[in-house]
Amino acid sequence: MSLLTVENLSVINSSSGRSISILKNIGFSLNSGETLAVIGETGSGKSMLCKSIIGLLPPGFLCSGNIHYTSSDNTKTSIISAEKSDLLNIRGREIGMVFQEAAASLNPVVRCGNQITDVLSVESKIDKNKAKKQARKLLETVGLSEPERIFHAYPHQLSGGMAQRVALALALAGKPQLLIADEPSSSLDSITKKYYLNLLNRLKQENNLTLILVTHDVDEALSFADNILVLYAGCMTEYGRTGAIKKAPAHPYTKALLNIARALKEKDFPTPIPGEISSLTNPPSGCRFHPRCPKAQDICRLKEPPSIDISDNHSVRCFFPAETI
Amino acid sequence: MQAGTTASKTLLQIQDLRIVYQQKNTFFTADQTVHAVNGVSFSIRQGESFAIVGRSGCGKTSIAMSALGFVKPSAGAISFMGENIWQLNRKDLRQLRPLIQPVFQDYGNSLNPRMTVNKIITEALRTQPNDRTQSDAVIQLLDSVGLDSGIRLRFPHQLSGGQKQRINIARALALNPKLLILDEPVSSQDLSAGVKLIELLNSLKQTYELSYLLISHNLSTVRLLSDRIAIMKDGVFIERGPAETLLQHPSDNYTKELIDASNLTNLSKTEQA
Repeated sequence: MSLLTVENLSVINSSSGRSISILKNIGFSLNSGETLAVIGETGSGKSMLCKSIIGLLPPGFLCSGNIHYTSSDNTKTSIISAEKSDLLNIRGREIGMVFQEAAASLNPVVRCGNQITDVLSVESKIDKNKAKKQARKLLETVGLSEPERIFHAYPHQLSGGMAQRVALALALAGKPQLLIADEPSSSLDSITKKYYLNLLNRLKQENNLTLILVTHDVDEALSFADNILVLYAGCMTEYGRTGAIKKAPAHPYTKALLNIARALKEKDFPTPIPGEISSLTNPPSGCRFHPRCPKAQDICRLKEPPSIDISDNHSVRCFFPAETI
Repeated sequence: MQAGTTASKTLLQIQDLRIVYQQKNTFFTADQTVHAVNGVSFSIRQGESFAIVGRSGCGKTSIAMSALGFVKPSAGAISFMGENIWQLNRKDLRQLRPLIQPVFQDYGNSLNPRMTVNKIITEALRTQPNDRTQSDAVIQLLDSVGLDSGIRLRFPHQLSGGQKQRINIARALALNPKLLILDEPVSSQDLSAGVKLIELLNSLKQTYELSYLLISHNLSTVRLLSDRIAIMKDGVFIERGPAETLLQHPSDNYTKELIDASNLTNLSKTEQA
């Protein structure tokens, strides 16, 4: 069953007086229990996509298209046109989010346990003592070995990995169906990162969570997700099942990212993608990847590429996807 | 990987370094003593790249901060070009400091948001005697880190992550350093930008005969950038050796665990089964 459907999502930032296209024609669907990895470079719009889904875009950002979310009671909500009160019911209870800088997303002057207790007493409508018990249990669930100490600790007393897990406990407190994790492991060391990803996997199984994992680590996306969405400068370049993308990436950008990840793994020196990611304030005409694309031809500079279905659930936006080059 | 460094002279020598932090009782915490570094010794030769690898909180950055003269060691000695930096008077330390330059992980916050790139680099150049005009020097430095001269009129918020880190490197180079302390230089970068930075750092090492003290938890970065590696845990080195040898034939279980953790391929298979 499709839990989340995103159709032709576009986001424009008009806060500075001029319109800057942040996201353009994004479309995908996510079934219950699946994991979607969103990959792309910094500035590709990954975090903005997450904020659009949870209805947390900053003032001055205009959203168009459709984001349909199916709640646990089978009610369908259009996130873009939903009333503020409906969004309040969805945020936390239906869709939880772990923000990129976990430590910064925690309240620095409230003990970690109390932050989780507050969420539990509001979301589950239970008394404080029960909520405190559940908060301790949640801290245990996210793999913190000293839940009692962490419960009484302030965020600054935690390591990066601990803060990340407290933020996860906070997101899980509302028992969401869909969890959005925005670069949860980017600042963690390799052992903590692997532990955290394994933990996410376990929690996903136990709670039948659907997960959107935002990352710029291609290896992480390939190892963890069922589907992958590749973003470049606000445009969707490729979307499909992980296996299909891993086996035969169709877009030159996806291919380049996968080649770098593969070279790093095989202990070769990788070949980086030439140039820098296109600026969103002054994007190139046609395909936004064309200035860096080794296969670019005249049409790529003139027209925006259409979405081509390569197979079931595998689409690419390119005039010359891998098979036809 | 980077050969030809063994015959050169020792640049940085650290002997039995110990760093202890005393945390005083505050509103939030009780008195606490943290032994961050517990007797670490190593040396870096001219033109060599030495990496310290370990998990967050193992004491890597404390060593770097001490070598930079920011954190006073509780015991031990740090010598740079034969001078114990913690025994130098203020004037001598001031002369020595430009030779050891840091490049921090948080590239964005290391740049003054109110200064243009030109001003950021000019500030560093002003402290150095220079034959060239400052604008020529800025353009040359930008060129050496692979940036176009047009970028010098921009502010940090107008730059990408990769460009910001290159500006940090250019500013460090403005002081003609001999040793760069690279604290997680590519961990916040995208895959492609990170690879480009590694390429740049390797080429700058040759061009400027630089030595690197690399602090990282990313083994891919370390493998591509360093000649020798030390694995650190709880304030001590538990294993050290040439980069390729250590990564291919680790002898300590902790090193094996670190290498294993950087391989995510068995993740979904084991956990989702």
